[in-house]
Amino acid sequence: MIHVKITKPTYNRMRADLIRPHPFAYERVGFIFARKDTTEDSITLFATDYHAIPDTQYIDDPDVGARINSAALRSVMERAYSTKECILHVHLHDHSGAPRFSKVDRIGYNQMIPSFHNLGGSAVHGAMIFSINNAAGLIWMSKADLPVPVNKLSIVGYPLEIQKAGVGFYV
Amino acid sequence: MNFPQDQVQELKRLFSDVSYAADGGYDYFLIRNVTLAKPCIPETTDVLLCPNAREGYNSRLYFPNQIQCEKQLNWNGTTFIFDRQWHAFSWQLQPLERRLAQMVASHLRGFTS
Amino acid sequence: MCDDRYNRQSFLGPDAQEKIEECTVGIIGLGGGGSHIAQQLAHIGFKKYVLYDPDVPEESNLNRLIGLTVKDVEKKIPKIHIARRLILALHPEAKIQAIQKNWQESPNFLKTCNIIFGCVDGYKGRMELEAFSRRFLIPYIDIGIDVHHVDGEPPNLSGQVIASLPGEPCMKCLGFITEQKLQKETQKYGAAGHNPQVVWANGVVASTAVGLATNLLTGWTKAIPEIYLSYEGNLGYMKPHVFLKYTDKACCHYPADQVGEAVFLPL
Repeated sequence: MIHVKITKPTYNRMRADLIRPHPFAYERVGFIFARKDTTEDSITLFATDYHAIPDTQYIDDPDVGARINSAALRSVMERAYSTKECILHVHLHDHSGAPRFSKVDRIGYNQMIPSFHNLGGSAVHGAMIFSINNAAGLIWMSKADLPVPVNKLSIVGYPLEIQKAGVGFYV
Repeated sequence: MNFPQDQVQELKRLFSDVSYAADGGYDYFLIRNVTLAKPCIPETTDVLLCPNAREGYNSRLYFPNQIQCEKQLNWNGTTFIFDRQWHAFSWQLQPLERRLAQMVASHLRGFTS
Repeated sequence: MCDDRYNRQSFLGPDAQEKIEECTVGIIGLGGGGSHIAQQLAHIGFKKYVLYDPDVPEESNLNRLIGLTVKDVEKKIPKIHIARRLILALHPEAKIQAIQKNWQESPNFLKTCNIIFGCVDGYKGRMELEAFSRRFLIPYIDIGIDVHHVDGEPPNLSGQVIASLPGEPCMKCLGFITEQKLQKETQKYGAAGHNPQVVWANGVVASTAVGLATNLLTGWTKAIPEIYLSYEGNLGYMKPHVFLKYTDKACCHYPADQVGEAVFLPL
């Protein structure tokens, strides 16, 4: 089972950033850094921080919702290299219910996320989509593995929210 | 981590495998494969140095197990740290023994002094 | 089982019961405080438990351990089994991990909890539990009772309920755990003695803790609860601790990046 836990302040900070309009991108993206813990039958990712992408690090590409440049990726990877944290790419879907990874998401993530494993170490990396009241996630355990879905999301704060992650798996 | 680099380097010169983490407001240096004075059992062990004042001690040195040695020690510092139990015996350093390597060496002297 | 079972607590919210049933609670210590908590959680409808206590009750526990009988003492039934029996009597289908050890010897079950209740003796034990809970982003609720004797005065019965929530002030921030207290405890190591305990005081702090946890889970009051409540036993009430006025909002002891498995960075 894969479980993602995030504190409410970090979650709110993420949402507040991602709902902001961008000068030309249709949507915003960001990254959650996380540390993991592994037991016999589960992996839990604990969000440590939310990393917003500066406006200037987006590329104007009308064919996709959002595209970020190499500087954005480099800063994320530099941090993960020194701290050994896990990286989760995040964005929002503006509806309620279970979000799904689109074909465009799938293609983009298939290139981006495995490359994070070039950082080495035992971190895992992935992507999450948050709807208004649900979430879906995919985790690449290694560069070569196919992604596996996130099963549970906990938003730790008041009130405590424990969600069974949506069905928006690898479509 | 807020320790002078010269102290960290000194520790690394004495012990080849040193790493650092923090938890609950305490600093921890994990030093692997430290050789203990004879006739301690085991002969080599990992140790965890906490250089912060805690529980009335100026610093504490933790071991994965209570080490057997000729001297009767008061193992009053069993503590769950990170993900397992660590054990420390009662050994108070002098206030001036504040360099990291000095702390480790002074604590280890507790087995024989 | 009739749906009316919980209709008296429907004010908790339309999806409260579902949240309660899905929540896994950990209770460390099934003595005077923990047994109250187990009983109340079961009545409310919690169905997933992780219980730790290495002990077998003695006759002196009969004054306060909820569910304990004279026969249990004679037969040396472990405290976790008393709690388990209480829970199963209300929920035969409950999922209960009952571990007759100190949690530190087998901590992995505790990681599965959504809320942890600490009903332990000693500041060091509390500090370790809190550190664990913070590391795994689990809200931790601590309870305790104490009786202080002052010459010429009646004994002073007091206690606390503290909610240590990730990102919020911890028990050190709140001044409840201090190095001086830890030092005193270390000096008394091996001569712990017996803490005074009475059932009604345990019941007050346990009930308060259960109410706090239910609020945390359901959000029914729509207001963040006070995280540090002190029990004035001689006067018979709970009140927010005065320290709350002077505590920083953010915790400096448990930074956001000190979570998950320990990562020692090579120097």
